[in-house]
This record gives sequence, structure tokens and C-alpha cells, in this order.
Amino acid sequence: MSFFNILKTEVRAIFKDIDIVLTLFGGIIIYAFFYPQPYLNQSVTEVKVAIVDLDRSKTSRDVSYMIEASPQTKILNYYNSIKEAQDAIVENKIKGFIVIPASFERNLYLNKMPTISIGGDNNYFLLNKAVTTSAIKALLNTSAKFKVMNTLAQNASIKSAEKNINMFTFETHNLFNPDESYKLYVIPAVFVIILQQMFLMGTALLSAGYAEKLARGECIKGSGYFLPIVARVLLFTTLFIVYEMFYFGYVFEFFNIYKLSNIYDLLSFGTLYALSVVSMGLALGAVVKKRAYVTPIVLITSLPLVFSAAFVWPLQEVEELVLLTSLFFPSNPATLGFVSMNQMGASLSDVIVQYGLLALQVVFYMAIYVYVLNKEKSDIM
Amino acid sequence: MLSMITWIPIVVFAIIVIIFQKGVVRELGVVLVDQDRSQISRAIAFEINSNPTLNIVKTVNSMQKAKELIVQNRASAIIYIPAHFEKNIMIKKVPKIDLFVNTQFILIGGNIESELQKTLLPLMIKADVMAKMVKVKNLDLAIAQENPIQIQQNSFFNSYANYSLFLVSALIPAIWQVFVMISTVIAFGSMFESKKEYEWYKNSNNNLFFALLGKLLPYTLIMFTLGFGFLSYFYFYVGWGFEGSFAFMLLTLLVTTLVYQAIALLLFSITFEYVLTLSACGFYAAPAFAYLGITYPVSNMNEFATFWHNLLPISHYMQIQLEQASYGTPLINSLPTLGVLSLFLFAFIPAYFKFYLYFKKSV
Repeated sequence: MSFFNILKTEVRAIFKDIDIVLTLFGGIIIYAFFYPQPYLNQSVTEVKVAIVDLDRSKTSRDVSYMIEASPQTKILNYYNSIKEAQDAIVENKIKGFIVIPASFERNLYLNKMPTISIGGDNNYFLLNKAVTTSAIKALLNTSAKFKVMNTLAQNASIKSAEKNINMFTFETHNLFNPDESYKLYVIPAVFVIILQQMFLMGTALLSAGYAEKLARGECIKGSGYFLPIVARVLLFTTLFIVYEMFYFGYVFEFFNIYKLSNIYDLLSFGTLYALSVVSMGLALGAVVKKRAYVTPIVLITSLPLVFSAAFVWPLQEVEELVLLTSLFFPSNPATLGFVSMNQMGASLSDVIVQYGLLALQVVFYMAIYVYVLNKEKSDIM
Repeated sequence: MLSMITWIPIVVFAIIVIIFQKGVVRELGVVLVDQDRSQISRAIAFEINSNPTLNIVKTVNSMQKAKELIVQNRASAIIYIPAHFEKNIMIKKVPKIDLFVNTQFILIGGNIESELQKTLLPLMIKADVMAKMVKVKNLDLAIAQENPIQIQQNSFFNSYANYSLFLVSALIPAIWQVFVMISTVIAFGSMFESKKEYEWYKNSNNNLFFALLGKLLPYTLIMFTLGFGFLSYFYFYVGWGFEGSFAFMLLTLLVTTLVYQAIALLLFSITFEYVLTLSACGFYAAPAFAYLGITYPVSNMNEFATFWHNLLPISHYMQIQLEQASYGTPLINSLPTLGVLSLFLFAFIPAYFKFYLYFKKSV
């Protein structure tokens, strides 16, 4: 059989399998638009909060105004007791509250450091951060005002009083993803994992399908296995690269996700990622030998893979055994690699460790695939 | 395929627990660009290294070198101390330190930002205190006198020790629902694939209702037990404490199990195709965590996402788990959510009808 004929047979095998077609030509396209939906509204603004003002002074009202004016928070209500505010959180009316204690203003004038409490629902990281940021800004302002006033009370000029507030200042700059957009945080990373899971399914369904055919004695005699493997890898890898262009090109643009990478570096990294996922998928199908096993395996590994991919949780905090296991999945080095290149402008040399790991995975999974096929001395088409 | 409902779920749950086990983030990498190399800049470096969450991985001479370390993910933030920093402090010129935080990774970036601020704020005080600091290197007391308002952050509803544990309590149910669906499809799919469905139907005296019940019930029990297992693990073994009614929680768990079985059965009954249904279940159940509103609040989602959030039973389950476990919400307030959840049970009806047609046609 000529290589061209083998290629044709492989293409036919892919398109004859409805499950592969639905995965690699249906699901993968739908996911690109479906998955980002929850994250499209950029940053968290106007979180509903309440003020428990036990002081009812001019200063406490000033603090409230500043909290209301901040883009992060919106005051929904004022309560007279902490209990009422807590109940409002339980009833899901507000997401946080700020308690201004009694004698707040008086203590400030007396230089007696009052304590402000910020009550939140720690269960919601982003909401809680918004409430805290807004409240701290308002309090730092008030705090600075009183420092100036106290200094002025000692007969200094306003200018020297202001200088007296701090001996130095600091300013925080956001290096990448400057708006702290959740979309720019999640989508570039999760897309890498979605591509892997979809192609693991597609390729493993194909090779497991051949294993089932072999078990029924329906394989073509005399096809050997070298050329069919080359054809298979070539086809799936090419298709994978097309989807990488679609995901990181068209879909990124569609959702306004910027990209800083150099196209040649990206293509080089992307090709190796494609090869490693395709080899892993083909090996997986050949090892499990049953098509019905493929989807459950891919499904239940998805969430653990997302949360071991370093972008949610720092990897050094993860137990070594899990860390070691995660090294066998291409998506782990690839997530860090793609995000660094696309979102942070890393060059190929900056992600050379990840690149090398992908290369090792290609060798490892190809060896398994060839070993399994060779052991069975089978014709695989 | 028995492994799919026995040891595999337990192993997957254990992996999730292990990933977040250490809980508290420590030693996040920081690069220091010290153009001043003075006593004060060294004192600042010392204070930063004393914070257990932070760790200066390298001191470099230029911003360019520092940025390289960020891009290579060897550090998450840069501290830039300009030249003449100490001198400017002495002549009261108020110099500025610049912090550059890699906010691409929001959770890590947010952590490092607040820790850096916590470390630098106390240092930001007047010169006389600073002078003291250079001598004693500990100034908690001095700060207290210098900051007019003290801010105390209280969390009133945190039965979890930290954020990572909270993530675990949502991630495991999100994976569990995938197992409920898969186990149902496997039960029916493998039977149809090996063409034993007529045998099964006849064995129950051609009574479809009892046939379905008999097939589903063992899986209901196993999946419910798994759920009971992780809930007990969270709230009694780890000891996060359960504020509300645990009995009501178990009822919710049972309804959720049945609901996902109903949906899986309905999806299967559309085509009676084994692998195809597995893919369909995957599409429905696998991305549920993104729509759950745990990492990203539902109140901030667009209309479509909110709609899909409501179409996922696990969203309603999660709401009850939060209300009952963390808030101790009165049952009367959680009851409507359980009602909404129960509506999904109606999926059994069209599924039953499709099975009925399948066997009627062939008899």
C-alpha cells in the first residue's frame, strides 16, 4: 500500500467515526465560544455592601461617601447592628459590610486609634478583595487627613504637614493583565487544556477503535504499522495546529484577548505540543483498547489538570507525588508555556524547560504506542 | 468498569485534596532591583524576607534582568528601589518605591500584592521611627502609635481555615456529578452495547418501571454513599464544622444524585448510543465548575452564563451546601432551592417514554 493510499484510508477512518467527528469538528469549536461565557464581564465592580455606622458623625459619613464613590463597591443599606448586617449576608442581599465603631470621630481627635472592622464572606475571594480594597482606600484617606490635622495642630504649614505623613511612598504597577481581568487570566490557560482533552479523546477513540477491530479480526492484512503511524500522527498533528491557530488567533481576537508572542516561537512550541498530545492519545487508546473507556478517562482528569497547571495555585506548594504525575500530561508544561508566550511575551528560550519536557513526552508516548502495536505484531489499519 | 464507581472516584478526590493540602502559600518569589544599596534599602529587603509568604529570589541591577525572571516564571513581583533613596529620605524629599506585580496569575498576584503592601505600609512612617528601625529592626509598637486608624479584617462566615480548602469543598462535588452521570451511562450503555437489553427487560416481567428502578438504584446508593463520604470528610473528619442541618444536606445530596441519573438517562435515551452519550454528558457536566460561581461570582456573569448556571443542578446543590455548611441558613430559606433542584427530576418522564417506545417497537 502506498503512503498516499494509507493517508486516504486514515482520513476515511476519521470521518466515518461519528464520535471523532463530533469531538474534533463539533465540540472543539463550540467549546471555544461556550467556555469563556462566565468570564466575559471584565472586572468585579459595584459589589453590594452595607455600612454599620455606630458613630453617626461627620467623619463616619465621610468614610461612607468614599466607599460609595469607589468603583468596586456600592452601598445597598445602612444597619444599626452587626447582627443585621450578618443576616443580610446570609440572605444574600449583600456581600460584605464595614463597621464604624461608636466614638470613632471622638477617638480620632483624641489620638486614640479606633478600630474599623471589615466583614466579608471569605468564601468569595474576588468579592472579598473588592470590599477590602475599597474600604482600605477610604480609611487610608481619612487616616492621612487626621495625620495632617494633628501635625497642623502643632503649628506647622500645610505643605510641611503633608510631607510629614510619610518618609517614602510606594506605587503598585500591574505588569501583565493590567486590569486584573478574570477573562485574561482563565481563558488563555484553559484553552490549552481544552485542546488537549479534545484531541486526547479524538486520537484515543481512533486507536482504541482499531484495537477493537483487531480483536474482531477485521484489520487489513499486510499494512504493517510504520506507515500508518506516520500518517496518523501527521494528520492529527496538522489538524491540531490548525485548531491552535483558530483558538489563539481567531477566538482570542473574537474575545479581545491580546497576544504578545512571536509567531515563529509560538508555532514551534505549538507543533511540539500537538505532537505530544497526539502521541499520548494514540498510546492511551492502544493501551485501554476499548472506545468506551476513553471519554470517562478524559472527563475525570479535566478538573484535576486545570488545578495542577500552576496558574491557579503555585506549583511549589503541591505535593511531590502529584507534581510528578502532572509531568506526564502535556497540558502542564504547555499551559505555562503558552500563557508566558501569549500573555507575557516570553520567547522560546524563556520556556525552554517546558519545551524540553514536551519533547520528552513525545518520545515517551511514541515508544509506548509502538511497543504495544509491535508486541501484538498487528496490522493496524 | 466497576472501578469507575469504586476506587477511581476516591483516588481523584484524594488528588484534589493533595493539590491544595498545604493550604497556605509560602515563599512567593520576588526580585529586588536595588539601585541604592544603602542601609535602608537593605533593611527593606530584610523586612520582606521576614514575611513567610515572600522570598527574594534574586537581587539584580536592572529592570530588564528583573523582567526576564518574571517572564521565566521564576518570580512573581519586582521591587524597585531607586538610586539616592536613602539620601532623599534624609533631606525629606519623599522618594518612591515601585512594585511591579505579575497580575497574569490573579490569585498568586493578588496574594503577593497584599503581602508586599502589608510589609511596606508599616515602613512608610515618619523618619524618627525609621531611624529607630535601622537600629532595632522591629517596630510593631512604633507603628501602632503612628497609624491613627486600625483596620481589622473579620470574616464572619469562614468555617474553612483558608481559601484553598474552600475550593476543595466545591471542586469535589463538581467532579462527583461527572461520576454520577458516567456511572449511569456505563450501566445502560454497556448493556445495550452487548445487546443484553431485551434479556434485562424480560427478566423484570416486561415491567419497564421496575427494570429501570432495579438498574438505577444500586448506582444511586453508591453515588450517594460517595457524596456522604466527602461531606463527612469535609465537615467532620477535617472538622470545618457544619452550621446548618446535615440531614437536610443529605436529602439535597440524594435529590442531586437522582437528578443527575435522570439527566444521564434522558441523554442516553435520545440515541441509545454508548460512546456518543458519554460525550454528551461530558459536554454538559465537565465545564460545570466554570459556571458554578465559586471562583468567579454569578452576579458578575452575563445573561447566557447565568442561564446556563441555573440549568446545572450542581449550582443549586452548591448553593445549599454553602448555605447549610457555612451560613447555617434557616431551612425555610433553603427549601425553595431544593424545590428548583427537584424540578430536574422531571427528566425521568421523557426518558421513560423513550425507553417505552424502544421496547414497544421491537416486541
